[in-house]
Amino acid sequence: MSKIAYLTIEQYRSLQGQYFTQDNLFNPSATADGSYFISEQEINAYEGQEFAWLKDLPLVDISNELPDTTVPVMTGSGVLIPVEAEILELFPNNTFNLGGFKIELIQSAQGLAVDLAYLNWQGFRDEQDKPQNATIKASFTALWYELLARYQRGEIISTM
Amino acid sequence: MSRRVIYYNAGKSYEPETVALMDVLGILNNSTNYGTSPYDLTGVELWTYIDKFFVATKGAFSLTLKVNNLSTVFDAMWLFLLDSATSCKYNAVNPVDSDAAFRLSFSGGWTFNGAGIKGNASNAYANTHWDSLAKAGAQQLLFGGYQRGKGTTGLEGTWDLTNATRIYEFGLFDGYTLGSQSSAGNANLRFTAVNLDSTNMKTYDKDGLDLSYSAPTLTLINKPFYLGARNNNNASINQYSDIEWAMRFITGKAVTESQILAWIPIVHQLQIDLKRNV
Repeated sequence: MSKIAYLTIEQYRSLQGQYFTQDNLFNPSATADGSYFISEQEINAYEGQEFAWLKDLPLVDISNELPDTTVPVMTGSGVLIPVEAEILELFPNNTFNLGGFKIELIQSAQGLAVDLAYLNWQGFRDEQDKPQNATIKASFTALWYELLARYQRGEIISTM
Repeated sequence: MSRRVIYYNAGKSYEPETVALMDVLGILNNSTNYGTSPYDLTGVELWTYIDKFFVATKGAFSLTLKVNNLSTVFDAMWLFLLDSATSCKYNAVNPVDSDAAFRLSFSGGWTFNGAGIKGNASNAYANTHWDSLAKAGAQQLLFGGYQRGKGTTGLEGTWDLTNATRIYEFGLFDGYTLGSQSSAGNANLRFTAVNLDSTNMKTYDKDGLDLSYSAPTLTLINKPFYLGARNNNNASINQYSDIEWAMRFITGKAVTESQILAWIPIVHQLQIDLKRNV
């Protein structure tokens, strides 16, 4: 078990090809699930100013194990997805894939819907909360609250 | 006072390899301490121990003393002296700061502690710039190293994943492992070497024991050998390791078993002389 710090895609790109000591290159890498990271050793050894933000990144233990992306058991109930074009564009082919977590929308008689099981999928939420997914998560925040509101208003449909 | 003056004034004729390596590392032949406690050594000690190692190694391989000829047997030998990427990168048989001289290019999270180098099993690797297609003759290969600390995971070397062809690699799983053969907990694998000649592949441990592992298929490929990671010929790195190495070597030339057996205690003695707690 070693420690790493997650990177955004911009941070990842900024470190590529850069030296952190005279003869040691940064090697920003990706985990098996596609998350970008840099190692604790590189952060500790770096003494420059250009990438001083590295020192502020939280360190986490890295595991070689892949996250469990097993799709939850469908409940047969869901909420409708708003039909605005910009929202539908988030779901090409009615699917959404984030680091191996795949959500498939359902074409019900009332319209496009998402099963409640996806909305309660803790593994997917944890994946969303990773720093490198911050931009993606932000793009979904409005939709998330709209779906939550529909659920709380009891606007639940059958997705069977 | 320059190193060269000290060299002649000391009245001792060092091996050319010793002079070249000490010179590029900037190690003076005096009482200055180099390295990181508890592995620091004085300049006098480093000149003495490294020279003793080179002399003995030339004896084991029947090379002429006082001639810069270790490179006729070894393509590369990394001794990992002092405690930085800059000092550990040099190929001791040709200490030139260039890829062509097999200077190591470190990338990712390495630890340099004066007793060796250790990858982090996450993103650390070192490109040796040595590839078999350019350097290895048909069925001629010697590679290995001296492990100071066993790792917990990963494989390193070069590998052709698509064709499932083992090229050459070190790996550790539950304990010390050579090739892909498990030998859990075998502390004798401080020194590990694979020697392939026209008819046999033999694998050796610290006591000279031929571990009799099955021979890999030697496929010459144009992909550099990595330390700390496994370089997959048809894609990218697909394994990282955390083995701590006190020394590594590789050559695409043939050596005999008697030469290997003579050399093993010499390598071991070097690590003892360097106070590496082996």
